[in-house]
Amino acid sequence: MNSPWLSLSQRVALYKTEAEMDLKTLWRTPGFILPCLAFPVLFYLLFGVVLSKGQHAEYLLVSYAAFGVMGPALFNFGANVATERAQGWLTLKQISPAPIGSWLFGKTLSCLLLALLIILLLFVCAGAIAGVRLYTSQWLSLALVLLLGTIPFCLLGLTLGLTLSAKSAPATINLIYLPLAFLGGLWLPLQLLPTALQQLALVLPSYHLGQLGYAVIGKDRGEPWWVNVAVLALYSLVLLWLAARRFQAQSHERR
Amino acid sequence: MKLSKNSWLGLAGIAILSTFFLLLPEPQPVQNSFVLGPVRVFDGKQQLPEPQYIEVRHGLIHSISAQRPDPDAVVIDSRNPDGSPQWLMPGLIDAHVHSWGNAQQQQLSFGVTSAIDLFSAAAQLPQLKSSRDNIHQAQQSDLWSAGTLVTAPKGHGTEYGMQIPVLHSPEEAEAFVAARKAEGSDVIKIVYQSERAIYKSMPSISRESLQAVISAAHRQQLKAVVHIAEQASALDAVEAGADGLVHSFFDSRISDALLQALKSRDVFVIPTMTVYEAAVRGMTARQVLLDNTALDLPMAARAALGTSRNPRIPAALYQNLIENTRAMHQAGVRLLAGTDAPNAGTYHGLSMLLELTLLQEAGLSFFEALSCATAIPAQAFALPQRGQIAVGYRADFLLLPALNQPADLLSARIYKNGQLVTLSRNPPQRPAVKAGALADFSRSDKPLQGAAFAASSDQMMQGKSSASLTLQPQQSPASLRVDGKLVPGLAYPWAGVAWSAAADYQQGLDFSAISTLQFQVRGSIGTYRLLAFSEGNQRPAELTFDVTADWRAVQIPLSQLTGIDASRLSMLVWSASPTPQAQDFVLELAEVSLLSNSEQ
Repeated sequence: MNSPWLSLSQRVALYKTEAEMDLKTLWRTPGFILPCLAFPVLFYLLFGVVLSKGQHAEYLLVSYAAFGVMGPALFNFGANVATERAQGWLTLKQISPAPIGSWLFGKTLSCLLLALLIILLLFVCAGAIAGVRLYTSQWLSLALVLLLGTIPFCLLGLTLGLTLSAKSAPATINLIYLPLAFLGGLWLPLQLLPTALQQLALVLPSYHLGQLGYAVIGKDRGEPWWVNVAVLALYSLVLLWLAARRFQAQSHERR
Repeated sequence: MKLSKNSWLGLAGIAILSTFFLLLPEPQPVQNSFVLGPVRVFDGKQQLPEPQYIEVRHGLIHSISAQRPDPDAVVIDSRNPDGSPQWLMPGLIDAHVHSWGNAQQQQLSFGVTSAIDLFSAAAQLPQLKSSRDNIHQAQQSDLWSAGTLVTAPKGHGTEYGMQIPVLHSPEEAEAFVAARKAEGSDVIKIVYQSERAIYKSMPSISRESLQAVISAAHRQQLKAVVHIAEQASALDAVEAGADGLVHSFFDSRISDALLQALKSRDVFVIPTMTVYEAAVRGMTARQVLLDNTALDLPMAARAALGTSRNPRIPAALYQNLIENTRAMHQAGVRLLAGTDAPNAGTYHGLSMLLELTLLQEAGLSFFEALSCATAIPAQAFALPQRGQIAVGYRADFLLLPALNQPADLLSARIYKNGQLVTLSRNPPQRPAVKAGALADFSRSDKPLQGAAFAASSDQMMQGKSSASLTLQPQQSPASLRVDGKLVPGLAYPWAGVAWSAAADYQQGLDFSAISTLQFQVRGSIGTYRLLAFSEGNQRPAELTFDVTADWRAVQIPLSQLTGIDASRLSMLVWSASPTPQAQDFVLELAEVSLLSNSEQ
């Protein structure tokens, strides 16, 4: 797995190839991309623009953007990894001399690209239709926060993909994705939920991603930003460790 | 150097992305950097000796100097037509409000740039902090809040139909305060009435609990302020270590012992004379605002400030209130201007002018009274960068042609975070109701206009009355039947049927074009009341009508509903009238309709 015999340029080439391949796979499955893009955009247009008459367009932009970027992270990693595992593709990757990092790199890149597309689409809707006005620095920081914020969800997706069977993965991930968004305060403002659920939100990564986003527009709940970052980082570390364990277990199972 | 195809693609991507972000719409640039001058300055504590130039940068006061700081800077000329410099003073701070709905907009529109909320829903707390940190806004006042207050089971604060946690024993104090702190309370407000109080209104926490809560608050680095209504309770609160009293009292003249204690422990007092005066004497609002025909006041303000005199309180007690404030001022006790808006007889923002007038009546000079509404509350509640014209402070200030009396504040140009405030003092217009039927009970009890008909009784205020509704669509005329029981006990008992304009009771409908409310009634024989509420006004207009066993038509001219704002009517209640004994009744209501002016 360490592939010490590869030169740097060979490595770069491998990373590039993996990225290209994963993007191609993505491109060839519009059935996955289109809902990923359409869901947050339609939700935003419906709830943020039509139903609320644009009153909370700014707040809901952050909500649905955070909700949106979690989608590809969970599904592109979760469901796809589970499928590739079932097809034996992961086994092939594990025994092939190519560094496994390149495979992860390809997946992460396509996730980020999808997330970026969602963010850009939502920004266009917000700026052109919903009348949201933010400083360029705010638009940029919001995009950056959301992109970086996908990392713990990528790792959550990876852990799930390495755990679940190909058949159960999509349904299970939905069962995690939707409640995570709802309980994290991304569909309804948290203060509208019962107190017990508000307390629960504090331990969910979706809540902390949302808060970092709301902080950009000055509508967060007032925790210091580093608390949100620390929780997301902690989630990332724990999930990375879990994913690594699952990954090791995969190789052992085959022996 | 030759670039590969991929590098070109990458560069193109970066270029497109950069263009995209640059094209995204930005807010209108805010004008929050400028120089203002020359102005005469009252800085919150004193009058500065000579006219000054105030330089504002990005919403903060950057420098104050007698010389014009930068010859190239945009200088906003601040001279009166006769060439004399205008006045500049810090934005007002109302030290006692209850804020919800559009209260913060209303406050700012009258020059209150910061306020202390002493009990409202805890859910809004997290939002308050981030919005007062926002230095780009000029849409609302900055609010610090106590959130949920500390009170006994069934104590004051529990009667508003809002479920709140209550304190049962001193042992719970530490955790109770910690819970408030976690919710985001900026200060702890305690409701307390002494065992020695003669007129006991509602259950109170014990003196031990009071002591425990104050100590817990101090251990957790929060200030503790106490709601009291009489001298005995005030003394207990001060001895228990309270940082401030959020009301004064008028049951008796203040004793030397209490004065000494207030002074030696440096306890501040928010006398809230406005809300007391409105109930006890009811003259100041008329003298300062309502009778001054030159003032353009919102209808809602006239309605709110107009009526609230409570005839059961002897007017002579008013003198105690003024004399107690005078004594505290003379003894050097810190006084803070607070209004207790939006309680009966008050209006956010405008009531501050009345409080200033009353402080003057108690012997303070006008500028001393202004200190009580600016620098002193900011210091007492440790509000950062607020309440003074000083370098590094928020550019929250009022620019005035003259500064001699409270009514002058109405002609201020108001600046919030260095931006000129352009809010309308008139609250947003409500949709108008149309003349014609209000309901069709042959089809449904859902009204044709407005939100709902519902049974309503004083149970929501912990009273014992009750009511239930039955729709009778088959009868002629189709009607809504109330089976109710009116039980005396509360100050204002009621039971009957209520029509509400909107689901949240906070938004009304405009009835200005309607002259008459007409309906058919029959039921248990007696005199009944129609109560009409307008937005933000807790005291309804009240009219009576007679009910017999046979159907009869009742016409109520809306011109008789005095003291409320008909352009934002939020609720109508048909209720039984209080009798000495509890009484069951049946009331049937039919053919409720509105007649317009032209139909008369």
